Amino acid sequence: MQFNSLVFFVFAALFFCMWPLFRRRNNIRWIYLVFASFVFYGWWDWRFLFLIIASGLIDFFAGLGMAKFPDRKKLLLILSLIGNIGSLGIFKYLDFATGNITGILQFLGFSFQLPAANLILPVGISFYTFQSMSYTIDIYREQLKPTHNIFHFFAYLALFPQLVAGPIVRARDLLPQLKNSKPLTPQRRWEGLNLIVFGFFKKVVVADTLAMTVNIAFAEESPVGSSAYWWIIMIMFAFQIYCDFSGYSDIARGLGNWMGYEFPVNFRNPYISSTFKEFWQRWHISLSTWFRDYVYFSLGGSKGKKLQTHINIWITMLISGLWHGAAWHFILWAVVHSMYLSVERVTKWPEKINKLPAGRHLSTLLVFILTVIAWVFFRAQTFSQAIAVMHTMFNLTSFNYNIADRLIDNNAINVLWVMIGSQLFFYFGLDKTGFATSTSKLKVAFDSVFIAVIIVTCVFMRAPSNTFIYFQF
Amino acid sequence: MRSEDSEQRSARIAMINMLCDRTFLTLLLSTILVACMGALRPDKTRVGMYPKEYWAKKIGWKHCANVILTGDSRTLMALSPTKIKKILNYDKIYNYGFGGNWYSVEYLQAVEDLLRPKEVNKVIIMGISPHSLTQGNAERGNFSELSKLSKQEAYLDIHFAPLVNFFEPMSFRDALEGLFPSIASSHTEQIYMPDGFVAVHKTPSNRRNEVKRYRKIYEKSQVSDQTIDNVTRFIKKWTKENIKVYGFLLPSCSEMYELERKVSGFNQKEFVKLFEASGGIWVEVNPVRYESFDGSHLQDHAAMEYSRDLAMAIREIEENTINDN
Repeated sequence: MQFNSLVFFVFAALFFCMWPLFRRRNNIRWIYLVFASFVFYGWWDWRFLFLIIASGLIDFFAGLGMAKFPDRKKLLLILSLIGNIGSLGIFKYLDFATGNITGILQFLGFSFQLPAANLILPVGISFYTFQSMSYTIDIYREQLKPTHNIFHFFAYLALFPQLVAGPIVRARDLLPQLKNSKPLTPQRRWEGLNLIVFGFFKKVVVADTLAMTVNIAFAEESPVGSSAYWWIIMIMFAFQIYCDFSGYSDIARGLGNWMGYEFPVNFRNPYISSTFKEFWQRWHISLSTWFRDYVYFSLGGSKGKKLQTHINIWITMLISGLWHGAAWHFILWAVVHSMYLSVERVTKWPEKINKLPAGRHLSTLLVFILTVIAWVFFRAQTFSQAIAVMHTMFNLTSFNYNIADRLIDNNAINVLWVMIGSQLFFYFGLDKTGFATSTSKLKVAFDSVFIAVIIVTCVFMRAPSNTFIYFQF
Repeated sequence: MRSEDSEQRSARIAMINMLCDRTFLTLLLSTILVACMGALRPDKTRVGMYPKEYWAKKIGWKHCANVILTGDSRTLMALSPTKIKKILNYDKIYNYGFGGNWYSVEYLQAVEDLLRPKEVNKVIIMGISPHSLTQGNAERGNFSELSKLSKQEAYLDIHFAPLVNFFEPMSFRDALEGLFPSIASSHTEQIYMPDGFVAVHKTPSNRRNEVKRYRKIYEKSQVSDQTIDNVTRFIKKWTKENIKVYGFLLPSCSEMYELERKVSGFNQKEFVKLFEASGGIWVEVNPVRYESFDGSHLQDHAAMEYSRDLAMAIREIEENTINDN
């Protein structure tokens, strides 16, 4: 079930109508949450519910086992990791691996071809697998005590707002929340509405409008259009993916708010970062911190020698690239970002630029441009298409000031301006000054009218619906 | 008694709290605004079907026609089955034109599936434009897009048509033009007919508007041998199955006609030869003497004239065939 579908609106209306009846008692609440979440997930393909259940059962019992047999906890952790990574490997990476092995064998002169499994990729598998893994790892590290109630555990693992596209919530944060039922205060209700409305605006107005133009541009294997056209397309994609994903996170957080739960902030205006380190502290925060805590720190983090730190960064980023998709262009995207982080760490160029007049603006612009370049590898369907797009972007002889040498939708241009304007608003800190922070009656009325207008915009200015990009991960 | 009073009081307080709640008031305000915007929609369908209802029904047609008019948007907006029915003694005629369409195998197969299997006198009238003979990818055109329409979407589009239409996207400019029609620079009225025809009336009409766009289209996409082969293969198959196949050149403005001869790679003489060799019957109707609103599509009244002339030309051929026999 997608948030931007009619069936979800019906589902959410039914869920929240009945929520007050079930929310007071623990067991009943958890059973209701698990039931609703399974309906939400099973709507896409009920057969894959068995995968979540199997993956969850492994971790639930592994958690209990670790508490009961502390001397065998390493073995139990390994079993849990094998279960999780195994299912991820089979559904997500099997064809990628066999394809590459076949390629290598053919390169070596063997005419052998491994058959492709062509398995359907279960929606959100990477999200719930990581969430499930964090449960057992935290128990292993003694940062969390396992729950003895299976419904409590599954309410955490399958909670529908963030089940298929995050934010990835840690068990130590969500399990205690699920034990209590916070009252729905007017403030919480208002904040929830704000998050949901802005989330939908980002998705159905911004991301889907930009998607139309971007998809047309990438529909052809070899790029058509001038250098300027492709820069605009890639800037559009940068905002498309940001709004698509952060829109989902906002809606999830808003729904969580209405249920009485708090999910972590997943995006903090990443495009106003002036360093790449800052960018990764603002982009997909729940995943970045997951990788930081469970991979980067496990490898030693930045405690070792300088070279070791760089190696740890690269390994973490490469795994992150693979997490996004089983394809070489995702790995290449991760390589580019690893390179950015390493170069930044060695040269400290943002600090040097920041010393110049207007240096911070310059470094922010540079980080944004370099991020846009890296997105080429993420968006392209194949490695060769990525190279061709890069070639066009940097072929300045084809730079055409008349950017409309290919059709760019007017709505997409308008939306792009709105997004650039909003980023500047946050960049110059206008959200923290004067009227923006006022609690006067006028401001309250203004906010209400503003949200109402955004709702109208979502209803009437929405673009044709697209699947959320991160569903495929 | 006292507890009932207190319960009633607390329920009243809860109700008052809710009514004063900011979230509730905002949602109420947005509902009012949505209702106002929807009511201001300038393209409120008063005659004919709702657009989404029309398309959802059209893509779902199967085994319902004796006569089918095929082609792209020029067929869609130029051929009125009702008008043709008045001149030819045909029953159950449907316009199966789609915007941006080309003669792909999938489309031709769908045309075949539209015919009633038990009907003896089956006719397919193929509208030919150079664009309909280019080769797009499988995704191109209204037909392939609509083929992907889910059952759930189609159900909503058909059974909740007024509601779906009410919530259709539009811009603030559209709403403004709905409120003040005089500020609109042009007016387009489209009537979606249950027989598949779309009558369009645009004021003021810009006769050459599309010529430039088509030049760009043909720079990228030329008439394809593969598509012509699809057409001739299906004509051979159909005529073997005793389905009568007529073909004709779809109307446009004279500038478009010239352009398409120069840049699309379309050779009418050769095409007609292949068409007739496959068993089809070519119908000649002057394609450039009808009023087009954009250089490519006919105004509603011109569509009626064209439908009449095409039907009369077909009737003449049929009468001659009977006389010859």
